[in-house]
Amino acid sequence: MTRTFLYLGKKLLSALAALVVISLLTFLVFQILPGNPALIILGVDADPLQVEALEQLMGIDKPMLQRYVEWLGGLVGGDLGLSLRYRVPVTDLIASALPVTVTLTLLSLLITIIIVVPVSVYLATHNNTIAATFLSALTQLGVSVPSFWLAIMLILVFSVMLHWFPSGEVIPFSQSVTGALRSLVLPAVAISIGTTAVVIRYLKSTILDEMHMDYVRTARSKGLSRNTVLYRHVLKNALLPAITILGMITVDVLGGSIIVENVFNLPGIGRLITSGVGNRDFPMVQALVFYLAATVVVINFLVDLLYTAIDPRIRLP
Amino acid sequence: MKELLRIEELSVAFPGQQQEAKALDSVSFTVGEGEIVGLVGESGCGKSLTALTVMGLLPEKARATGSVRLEGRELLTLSETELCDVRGSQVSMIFQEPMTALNPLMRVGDQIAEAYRSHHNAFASEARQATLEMMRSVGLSRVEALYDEYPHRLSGGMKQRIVVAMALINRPALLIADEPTTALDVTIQLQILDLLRELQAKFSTSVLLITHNLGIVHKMCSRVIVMYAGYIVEEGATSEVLSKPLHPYTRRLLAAIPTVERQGKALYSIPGIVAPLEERQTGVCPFSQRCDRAFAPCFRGVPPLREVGDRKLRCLLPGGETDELSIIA
Repeated sequence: MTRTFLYLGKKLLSALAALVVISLLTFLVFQILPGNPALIILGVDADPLQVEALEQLMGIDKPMLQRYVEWLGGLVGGDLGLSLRYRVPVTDLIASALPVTVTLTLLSLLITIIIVVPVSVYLATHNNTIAATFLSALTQLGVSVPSFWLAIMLILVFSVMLHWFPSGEVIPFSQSVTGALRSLVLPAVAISIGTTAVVIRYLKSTILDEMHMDYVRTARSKGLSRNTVLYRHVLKNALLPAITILGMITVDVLGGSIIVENVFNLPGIGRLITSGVGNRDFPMVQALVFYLAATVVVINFLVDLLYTAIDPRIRLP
Repeated sequence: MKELLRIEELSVAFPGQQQEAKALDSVSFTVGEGEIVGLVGESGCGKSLTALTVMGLLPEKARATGSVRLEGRELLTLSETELCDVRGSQVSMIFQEPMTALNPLMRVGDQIAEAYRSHHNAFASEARQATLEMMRSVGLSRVEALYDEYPHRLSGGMKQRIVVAMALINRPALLIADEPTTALDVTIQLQILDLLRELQAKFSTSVLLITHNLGIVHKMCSRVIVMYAGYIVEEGATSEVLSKPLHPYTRRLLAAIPTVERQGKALYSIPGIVAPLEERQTGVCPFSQRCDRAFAPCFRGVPPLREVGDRKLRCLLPGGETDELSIIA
């Protein structure tokens, strides 16, 4: 038990170290980038005195190290400065976009997992049948169809033609939880189809690999039926490597599915990124870049936690 | 001795490119109650395939014909559900590689208990008790703590004891041990063999011991069956077969054992290899390709398995009249 805590403590420390390095790199990149934020706000023809005054106000005239320390302090305290475009704290903008993106992520993950497990098991156990070949072809299609096209098609069929789901409007959670969820279903489906297809193809092949392992033969020789062996022994072993893939997908969606969020007009992280980059909103983009990198670190840490919980071999230092 | 297992004219074929390839051909033998029978031969001779046929665990592509009877009951025609009842309760199996034979994500105690519960309508607590008792029987200590360990924390010998416990917890009539010690250290090998002997006597289990090690056969088995390329080529009491081998293949197997007398000389190995399944010639003596005493009739047909005294031999050479060992040595 103490070993496990030690292991996790080490992982946590390395995650924190990674975050510090990321913050430094992010900060440096934005120092090197050309373009003066004060000039962007005031326009190219602005009065140099005015520019200087604004630079002072924004604090860009201070030495680099001081600014980094201040930014780092802000990061910890939750103050990332004002958005150049919206003139509101960046943290507020991110905080309002985050629920949309997080819900979208959880919803896509849920859909993915619900579909992936039974379909992969079916494909693995009915390998080489006509139905399985057809399904495999479908997953191939799912992998290759671009998500923006899918998103448009989903809106066309389910919102415009069938009126099952709203389109183009987003109901905030504060207004109606079910309404908000309803408006996120189609985007989640648009994201999940690609991810589902990828994970199905992956999980199917790991299940097939696992079924040839010696422990499966041992379990069968105890008198367990094929299905019992599959669900009680094979699946857990096969899902282990799939966790990594799911983690990568989570990072991807949490980082804002830029295309899907834009097609569905969702006020999530993806939209913030597009608008931030488009408007050269330095403080916002800087904060978002740090957010993206931090998600990778945090999700990887969670994946590590999950592995530790499932695989007893990992507890060994 | 009462007969427990009777295999008759068992053939196992795999679909090949042009025609079916027979991996086992007209294999017939019996195992008596409480008897330990050795099954020897090189890799690819069909030993493990014979075992898997008895377990009903052949690969899906394989087609088995003939008859496998356990206590008079035909196993080849059983449904999958009926086979699940037989496996683990009447016939059990120990495998070669204890390192990979256990599920890495499951506590070893639970893996044994699972075998018990799949054949007993037992509460978890009863299964646990039976498991702990069985773990003690296979010579494990601190069993309460060991129950909750995962396989990777155990040594190879301990894992093999767990596998033995799993195989014997339902007191099967027949235990198939497929190279149970090949993957273990020499000192541990001996321990496991002694354990198998002890439990075999205690539970009066019959054992079909698959090995390529004639020393193990000598130590453990009352009778030995020598297989080559899917055929039984020689069968008889261990003492007789080992001291007076009749089949050229058996002789060469014996000659390949390093002994003190031959110390300093190059180790003998049988020239050639067992032909892969798809490349085997049909309609000739299976050993004719590697036999230096093969003569014309050997290439005209598969020699019948004929009786020579109490023994059986699949060879056209007059059995026991030649002494090839001197030529080899």
